[in-house]
Amino acid sequence: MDSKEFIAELSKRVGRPEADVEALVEGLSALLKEECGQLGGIAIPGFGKFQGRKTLERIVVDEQSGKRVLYPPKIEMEFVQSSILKARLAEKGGRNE
Amino acid sequence: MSSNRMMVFPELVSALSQSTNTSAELCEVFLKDFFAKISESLIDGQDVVVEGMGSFMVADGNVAFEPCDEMRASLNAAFEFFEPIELDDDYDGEVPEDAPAGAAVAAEAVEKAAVETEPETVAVADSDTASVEPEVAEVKEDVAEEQVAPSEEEKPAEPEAVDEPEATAEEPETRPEEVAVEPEPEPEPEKCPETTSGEVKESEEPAVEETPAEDMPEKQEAPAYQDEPVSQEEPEDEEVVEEPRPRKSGFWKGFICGAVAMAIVGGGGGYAVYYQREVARLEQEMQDARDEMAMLTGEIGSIATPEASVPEVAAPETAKSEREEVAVKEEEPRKPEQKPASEEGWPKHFKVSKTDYLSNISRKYYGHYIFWVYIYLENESIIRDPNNLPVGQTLNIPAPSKYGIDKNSASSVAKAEAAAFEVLRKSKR
Repeated sequence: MDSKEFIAELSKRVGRPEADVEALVEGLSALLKEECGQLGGIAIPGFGKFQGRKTLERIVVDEQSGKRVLYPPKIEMEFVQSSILKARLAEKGGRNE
Repeated sequence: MSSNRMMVFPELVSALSQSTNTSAELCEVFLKDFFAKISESLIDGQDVVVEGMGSFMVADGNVAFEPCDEMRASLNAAFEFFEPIELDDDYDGEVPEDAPAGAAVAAEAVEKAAVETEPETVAVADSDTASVEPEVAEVKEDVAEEQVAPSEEEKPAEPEAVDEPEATAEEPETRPEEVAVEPEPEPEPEKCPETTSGEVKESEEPAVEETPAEDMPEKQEAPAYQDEPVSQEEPEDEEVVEEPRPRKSGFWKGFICGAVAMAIVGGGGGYAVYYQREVARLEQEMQDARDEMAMLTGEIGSIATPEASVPEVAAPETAKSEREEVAVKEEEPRKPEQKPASEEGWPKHFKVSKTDYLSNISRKYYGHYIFWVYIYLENESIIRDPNNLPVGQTLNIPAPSKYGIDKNSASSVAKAEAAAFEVLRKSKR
């Protein structure tokens, strides 16, 4: 499901125009960027939590050539699913099987 | 950048309401439906791509989220100008002039090495950028096809690269995130990686190996990223560790100096208190000595009168023999008194034995113990302590006329007392 389909279905579900839903999605994305950029996180009950994690600068050595490369730090966004969602996925998987 | 706080759902609703200028009720409904829709789609086996956020997918029964390039670039906006730099073995600590371009190519090469496990590209990247260009193109294709997640190799240029026009010109081409975006003509939803998962990252990791802590001295030579917080593996870390050492040593030096100063001050104060106490004690002893002298003077006065009256009072004929014995005993001390009058045989000499004291000697020669002070003054060079005579030494006994010694004269006795007092005071000091 691509973004447009998702927005369209979500718009019907919320009962608001797609433009409003897109604006809300953009606002949610901006909040995620802001919080995770500050190495914080956002917890969604029943779904999971998004969290920013920083990897410090490091030197990576190629095992074979022995070359060393210095890489700058970076921030990654991690998602940890909730146990409820995992259970629902497992239940659905059991039914399908 | 170090809050580590977790925003809960009510806070998210409030923040979204403020940022989008909508009601909290609408935001709450939207958020619940948003994540519920994603959950339902994932449970139905559909991956969900959200524009500007990323893609949600199910892998091995677990939900995985892959942020899109826009989100990733926004998170790493602070490190946008940093770029991977390949460190030479003979790196001399100076920034190479072609560092941005070489580092960019190195990033591409290492990325390719991570995917294809071909380390030769890393070696080529630094030495000859022209020969690497075809490989870089291959890397772009690989990244575009597989949408490889940003691994450790994906990093923007260094701050030094900003100053060089060539580096800035090459940045858009060499940055992995943008490399992944450019080949695709499709709209933004396709920007988000669709097939990459955390497992892919881990499979790429073994191709490269992060340096252990032993490589730190070489890492210190790298001048880049000095304004960034560093890990224990990073070169600045040792500098950071080394800086506090002088502080610690300075602290300990200061602490020791302070302790020594306090000990000196305390010792001086204690000595001052001790000195004052000693002075007070000596004064008290001197006062006691004066009182004792006064008492002895009174006793002497009371005794002198009985001595003169004893022969008269004890004159009964029945005790005549006893008086004669006493007279015989007293003749001996009187003889020296008579001799001083004529000054014959003076000064005399007396050899000190273990049982001799100045008072006894004075009584022997002058008939009164108080004149011991004159014997002491006469032999001051020999006698160091008037209470402890040097045994075996010969003392000079001065003539009574020399000091006006007269046991019957109160003035002579008082004068001897004053002299004795002075001598005792000096000896106590």
